[in-house]
Amino acid sequence: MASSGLISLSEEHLALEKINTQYNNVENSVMLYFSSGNPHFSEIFSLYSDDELLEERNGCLVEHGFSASMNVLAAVEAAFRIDFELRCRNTDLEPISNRLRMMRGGRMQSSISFTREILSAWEEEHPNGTHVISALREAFQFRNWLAHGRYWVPNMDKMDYGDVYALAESTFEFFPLEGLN
Amino acid sequence: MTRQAFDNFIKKTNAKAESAKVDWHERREEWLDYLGEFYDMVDGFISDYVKSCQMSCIRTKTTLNERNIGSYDVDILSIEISGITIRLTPVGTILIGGKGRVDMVGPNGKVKFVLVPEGSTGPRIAIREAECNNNNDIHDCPETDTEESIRAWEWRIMTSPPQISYLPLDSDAFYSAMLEVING
Repeated sequence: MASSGLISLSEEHLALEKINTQYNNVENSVMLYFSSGNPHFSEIFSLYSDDELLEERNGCLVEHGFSASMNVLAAVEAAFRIDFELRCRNTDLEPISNRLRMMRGGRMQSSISFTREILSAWEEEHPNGTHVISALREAFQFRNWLAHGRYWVPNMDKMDYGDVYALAESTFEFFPLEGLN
Repeated sequence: MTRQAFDNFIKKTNAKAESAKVDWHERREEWLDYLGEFYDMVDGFISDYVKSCQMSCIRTKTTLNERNIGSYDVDILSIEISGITIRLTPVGTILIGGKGRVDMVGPNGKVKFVLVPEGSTGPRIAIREAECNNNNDIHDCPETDTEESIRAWEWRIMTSPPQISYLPLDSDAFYSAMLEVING
């Protein structure tokens, strides 16, 4: 099998735990910023009502959740693509590895669709993981809505950070992705 | 968290609330008095225009609902100038660093009138008393010059951030505010 199209791995992909630590640090910072624990609270929020303060704080937290969710889903995609890359380099005879190598042919990885091709390959080889794959496809619709500027009315439910993180953890527990650690 | 730690938290929270007891009914009545004074000032600023029918001014009721105070009715003042409406809407009295706020909203902007300690020119950083030699959390210590000890309040105009200032309110300042919310 030709090795054309293989990419060099950067080792800069984010682990879920790191994303979660960052998420918590920022969330705690936002809560502190919008509380009387902020030494400049009286200046910054001068004459704000309770409702106005809560609205601004919650708006901030929602946006933070969206950004962190994008990072989590990027980490999920990266994990599958790293796995794809490693299986294409290896010569193991696992059915999923064979399937991914055939899908690759001589194509560049960037031309292979994550949701339509890579996830479909995993779904066919692990049919008992269909529910996870379906949830991932919906999550990636949400990610696309965020990534492309949210300009259309979404046809899926918006997810919060907790939902997205739980889905990522389930995905990594369920599918034996190479290179995950 | 153990039961003991939770008991201590409950006792501390209730003690704090007890020591900071406010007569909320009196607080509401005081705010409504100051609001009345504000509207009397506004009536004075625009009386000539109203008398000469260049402006009209009507009052309608709205209900505010604030923490500790509950629901109560206040007046909204609507000023009409040839089809342009400017509305003065009270926001409330449970606010950070002030005792009241009325927002003037027009077609192209908003100006905030604020009830602040007499003579103040901008937001104060709250200074907390703290003893250096113990382990008390600074946020558990009382503020100096707490709101309840300030007896003189006045209406001022609040500028937008950054660099928030409280400007004196007189007729010229009020007319400038009206122009700002009309023209942007």
